[in-house]
Amino acid sequence: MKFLVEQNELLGGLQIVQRAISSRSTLPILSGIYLSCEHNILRLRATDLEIGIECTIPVQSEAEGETVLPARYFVEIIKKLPNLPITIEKTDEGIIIIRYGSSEVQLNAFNPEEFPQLPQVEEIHTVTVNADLFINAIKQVSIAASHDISRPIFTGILLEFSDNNILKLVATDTYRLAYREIILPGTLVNNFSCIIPSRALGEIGKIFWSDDNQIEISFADNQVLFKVDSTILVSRLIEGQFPNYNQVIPKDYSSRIRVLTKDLLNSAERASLLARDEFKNRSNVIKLNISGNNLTVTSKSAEVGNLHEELPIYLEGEPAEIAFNARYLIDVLKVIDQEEIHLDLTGSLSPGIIRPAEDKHVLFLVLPIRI
Amino acid sequence: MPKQVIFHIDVNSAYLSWEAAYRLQHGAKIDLRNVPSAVGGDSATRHGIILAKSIPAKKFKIKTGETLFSARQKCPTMIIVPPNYELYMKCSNALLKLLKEYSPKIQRFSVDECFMDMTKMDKFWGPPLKVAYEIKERIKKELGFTVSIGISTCKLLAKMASELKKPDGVTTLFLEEIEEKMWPLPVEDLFMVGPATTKKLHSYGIHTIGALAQTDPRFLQNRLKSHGLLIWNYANGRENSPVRENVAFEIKGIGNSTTIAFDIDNLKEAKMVLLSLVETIGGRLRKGGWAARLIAVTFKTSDFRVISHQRKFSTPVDCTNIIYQRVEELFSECWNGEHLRHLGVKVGELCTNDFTQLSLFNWNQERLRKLDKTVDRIRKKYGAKALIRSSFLHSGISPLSGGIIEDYPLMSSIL
Repeated sequence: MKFLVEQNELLGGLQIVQRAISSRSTLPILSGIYLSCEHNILRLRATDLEIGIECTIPVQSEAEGETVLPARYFVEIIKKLPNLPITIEKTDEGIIIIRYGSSEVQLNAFNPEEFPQLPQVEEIHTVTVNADLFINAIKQVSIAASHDISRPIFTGILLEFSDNNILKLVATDTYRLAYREIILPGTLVNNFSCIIPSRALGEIGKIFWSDDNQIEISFADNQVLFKVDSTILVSRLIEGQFPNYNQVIPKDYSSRIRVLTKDLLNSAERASLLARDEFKNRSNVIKLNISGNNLTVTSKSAEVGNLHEELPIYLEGEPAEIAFNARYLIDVLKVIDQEEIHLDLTGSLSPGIIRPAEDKHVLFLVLPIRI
Repeated sequence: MPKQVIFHIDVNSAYLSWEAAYRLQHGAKIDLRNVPSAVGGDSATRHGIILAKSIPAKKFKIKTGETLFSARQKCPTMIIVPPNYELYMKCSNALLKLLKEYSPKIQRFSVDECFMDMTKMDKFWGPPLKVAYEIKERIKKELGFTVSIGISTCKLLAKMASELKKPDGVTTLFLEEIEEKMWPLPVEDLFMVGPATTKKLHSYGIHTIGALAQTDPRFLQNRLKSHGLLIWNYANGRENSPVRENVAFEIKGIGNSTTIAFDIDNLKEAKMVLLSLVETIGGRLRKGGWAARLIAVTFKTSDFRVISHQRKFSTPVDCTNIIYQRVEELFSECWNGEHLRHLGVKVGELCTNDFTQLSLFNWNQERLRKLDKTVDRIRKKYGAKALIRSSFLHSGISPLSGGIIEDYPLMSSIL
């Protein structure tokens, strides 16, 4: 194997595939990046067996071949080289020589035959989505996904395609729920749904730029593949039945509050500071009291102090009183990019519904705290 | 800043003397403190260790932490009583209440130790030494147990002072007295010098607190890092942390474990033992008004390997069924069919349970809460075994098992 490549192009590719490497992997070879060179194309690949990322970059190849290099050293070395053409060559002993200017680095390599192939995705459905929309939707929905691995379903995001060309994304950790729909151009043949690990979707936002226009998504029985140009990400799907989320979204409300997103976010963040202390109180409870055109935010911690804030709002319906985990409220408010939100409540024990005032496609449920 | 006056009050063999005082008040003929006796696990089954011992038991070379079996071999006539943590908490609270009459600034350092800030209190109570004797005598008379009181100008020296005369003593250890009273002591008697540090200090030829105090601090810092400097300061009586008033005395966690009378080799029985442990923990948690975020499972296999597994959950719980569900999950993740000798469950990261995070897809939450409440009430009124799960009938497994061990904050480097 021998090829000539531009430093910045190689680094770009390495930084993309590197995202699939898990620091917790127990197989040494999985700490490496696979390289194969053929017909002026260099293919890079990395995987932790749950997700895999592959991309190709143009090179001038002199000899074909493949190798696996330890990501930690390889990426760091390339990162520290000047932006110049680099020659990478494999010796007969399998050692890799990286040449730049009149200098060189030699790296010991893994046996490329041991590196796993990415699973073949035998697609059943393929759809194309606008990258900007999709990445933004993931950002909003993934806040509600759980990190508790004992209930795998809740660590994923549900993608549900329905006949009127709507893609619905849903995530919940049972304490909150995030819902977002995207209208897809063109028609879909079938309705179907699957649960994708939220980690895999999180990587989408990091490896595909939003000006990448379209993302092609192919679904198979237990795999999903995302593709933009020459970069692909393959992930396994989470098996199981996502709970019926429609059933838990309240259809109406007894109080609707319109409030400036920033106002409520800043207030909740301040209140959160006084809602917990080191010993007695780990609850992070903040209380909202709504009456007239006024929202009162309060929080207290016996050891630290207390907070009382008043925010101007528009109230439609009855006065209300409710308590939330400040964290859950803050997470939601942070991913809403509109100026105003609606907060819909029905009593102090039903979920609060938060949505941007001018957007019908997004909705968040936050379950209250009983006090 | 005026000179501080700090008292350190240390209950002498706390668990044992509290038990003895309790028994005397309830008509016992013998005082446990005057005969070889110890507080330890239940020895009718095959488990338990010595938690505290009487002074006569010390003569038989019985050590805290050794098994009841080996203690019995050294002294067959020894009286062993089971631990009673509720009693200890009561005694500790009674002690605190009495001390509060003398100073508002009290730090409960552990279940049987307090620091009191008595600075400028001589206006009310007269000289420190006099009031210390008064407190000590009142505790003996009113509460029925003895304490040692140390008096100094900082917490460290007060604590060292109370160690000097045990039991039932009052000792001062002011800065000008350390050379005479503290420096001759072996270095391992100094607070924060544990077995590992002792070994290292011995290897440098430092055997007494005085020798430590006169060592070049740079040498110690080189060898023992910041800890070296800390103990050097302590050896010289330098320490200035304030008496921290605890808003409430916090327990860190609640643990419950049991050695099974026979080895368990199947999941069904293992789960039942876990359930019986959780039953007790759940009740205890709710009684204290706590909910726990951290849940841990431990087991010991028949070849004495100990395996444990824990997880932190996003919402704290106090519900027996939910705790059990999590315990079961943790257990099945780490058990590979080994024969089990000992099983334990622990909960930690406690917070108050006066709030509940509601959740979706969990319609039972409210009903479970009511169920727990009702069960607790029945058990309180008619006894713990008045209401048991029918799955335990004819199983040979106790429906509520284990002796609850409350994990009080241990003394740490933070005085």
